[in-house]
Amino acid sequence: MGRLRQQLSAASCALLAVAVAPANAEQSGTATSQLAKARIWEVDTSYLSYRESDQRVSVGKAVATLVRDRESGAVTVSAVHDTMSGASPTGALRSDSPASTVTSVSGGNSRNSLDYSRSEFTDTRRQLGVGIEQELSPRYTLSYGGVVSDESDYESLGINLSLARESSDRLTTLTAGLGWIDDSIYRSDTGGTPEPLGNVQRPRPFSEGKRQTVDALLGISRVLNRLTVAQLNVSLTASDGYHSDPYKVISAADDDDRIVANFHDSRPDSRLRGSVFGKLVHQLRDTQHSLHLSYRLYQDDWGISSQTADLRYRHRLDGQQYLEPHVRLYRQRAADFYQRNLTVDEGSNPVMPEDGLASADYRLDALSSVTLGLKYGVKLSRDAELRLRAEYLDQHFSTAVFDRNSAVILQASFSIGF
Amino acid sequence: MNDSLRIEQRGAIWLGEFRAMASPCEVHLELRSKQLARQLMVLAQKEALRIERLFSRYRDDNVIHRINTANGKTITVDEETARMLDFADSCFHASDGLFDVTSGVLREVWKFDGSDNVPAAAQVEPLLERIGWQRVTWENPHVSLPAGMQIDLGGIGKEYAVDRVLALLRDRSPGACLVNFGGDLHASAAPEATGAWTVGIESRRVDGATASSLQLQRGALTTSGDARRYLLKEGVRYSHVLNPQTGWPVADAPAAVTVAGNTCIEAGIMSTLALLHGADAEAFLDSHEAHYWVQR
Repeated sequence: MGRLRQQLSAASCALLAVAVAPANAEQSGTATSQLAKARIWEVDTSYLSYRESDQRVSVGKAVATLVRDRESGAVTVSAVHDTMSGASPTGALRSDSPASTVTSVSGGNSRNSLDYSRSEFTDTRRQLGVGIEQELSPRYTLSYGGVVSDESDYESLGINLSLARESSDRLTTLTAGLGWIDDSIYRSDTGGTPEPLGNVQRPRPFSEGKRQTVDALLGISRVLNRLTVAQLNVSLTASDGYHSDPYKVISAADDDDRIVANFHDSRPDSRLRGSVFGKLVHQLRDTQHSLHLSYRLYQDDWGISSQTADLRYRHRLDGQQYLEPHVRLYRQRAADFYQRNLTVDEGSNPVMPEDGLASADYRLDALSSVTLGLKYGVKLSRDAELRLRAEYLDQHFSTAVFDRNSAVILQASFSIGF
Repeated sequence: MNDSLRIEQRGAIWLGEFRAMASPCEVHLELRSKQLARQLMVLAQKEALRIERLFSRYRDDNVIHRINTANGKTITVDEETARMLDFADSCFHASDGLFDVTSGVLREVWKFDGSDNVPAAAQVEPLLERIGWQRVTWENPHVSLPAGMQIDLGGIGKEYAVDRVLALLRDRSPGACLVNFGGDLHASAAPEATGAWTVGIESRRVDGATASSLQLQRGALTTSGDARRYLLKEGVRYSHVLNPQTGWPVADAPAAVTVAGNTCIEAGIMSTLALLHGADAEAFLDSHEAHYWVQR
């Protein structure tokens, strides 16, 4: 379930993801310079629980990060352990068969049911990453690192390199980065990927599921005044290889949703993605409270475009504690080849797409989502901080078989420096 | 092995799902109390896993392993294993040697992975000397196999587990129960709410039209077939149904045979034997007045 789970796992942290880049930028802008550089080591541990309603997807994510920070640079080592399980929608229509159970040839991995609309999985993902930040000169910082990730049906290897340049007044930072990722995708039950648009009941092995990705990022962050920091990132990602999802299914059905056949997902063998991300952090005058506003515009050559708006307000309760309400709005246009299902002709034969592309994956459907959350942070000592976060995600899909989804995200993290 | 148990309510039925014997397992119970349903599901799961441990050929700590590695020595078996061996013995004789629990060694050369890797006759031939229940000395409770031979109760273990689990549940559940392990199922009685269990028969046709379904009040249904495992070479499809007497796949075996019976283990033997009769599957089933559905 790798591709899916990797993405779900990513989705489970999507709420974080928007925050990650800005948070780092913030650090380089103000936080690090304010904090005494005396602490050399910092350990950050967190546990995140992501639970979708209806037992769709549950993810438990444990992250441990160790940072060694010196004047000349920093080394970061991080380890991630995810456990994932559930029964996620495959894209297939729910079977119209009234059968409560099914007799079948044994040896399959599917449930004793003709219903292909959900696919069960349990998996564990382990990831190890190393990042090195090196101060080349007072104004230039070079960062590079690598990440390996492994689960029962997905392997990934990535490397990245970036260079940051501070302006002479130290108010502006320019960043340019490049990354490269090598992925292997397969089904955990067959060890391969099924033939795209092949009949689900007669799967034929297709290929090994290899994919290469290159991405490039240009960023600028600037301290506008004593109270405001702004950031703008532009990124471009190109990938080549197997992009279908080996677990996703699309049904061919008549107007009454009577299923004629179920086929494996089929997507283009390349993808070009671009995004622009802007963020503003503003500290309210004469207070310690701050407002974090960000907006992201995304477009790819599959026809998907999306917008994300994110607003956080950090309210300082006292010197040690803060509360941070969070709202996030997301809206997405569907992929060109997304279809709820394939249609059938008068002879009840499936009408196959001319370009050979079809997917009913709900994540490629038009969708909108709202996230509401609250975070509480407390400094336990000069160098130790505890953070608790609770969020609720509500998604609406345009035509997908399962047209709603909701999830509860809970996270506890603890960091200590010494 | 993932031993998680999922429980959900569907109308008047509690459905429990878990994995055992490399198959998805379902238990359907018609009763109100979730607590009782959960207790019974846990019991069912434990029993399934117990039987899996007992008869799995992938373990080295069970009676099957002891028998298969005795190297000609005599092994004394427990009562339950003895009943299974008695049953295997009966089936062997009743089928004129077509059903043979010693035929598993053929897997050494036949690997049904969808490839074109068909073994040479010279590879198959020597194995035949290591197959044949008539060479096994079975005098309850003592069994001995000539060195090099092996038994595999996998072909009847799952059906046996279905019947055993159903028996356990029937005694403890106030309402109707149905147990389905990997597509082989057995129902104790018709559910009151609907008057019958609606059972789908999985379609094996290429174009995958929706399967037919039937109404089952009580009894067992099993399906045997070759659609999931085969070899393909020079346009010839080799089914995974191997004749223990020739060591070669049965020609013209149906894609799937579904048979109704009083117990799962009975129905399972009938559907397996029907496949082994290849082109004569229907004639074989007719001659035994079986209730059946064949997909070619």
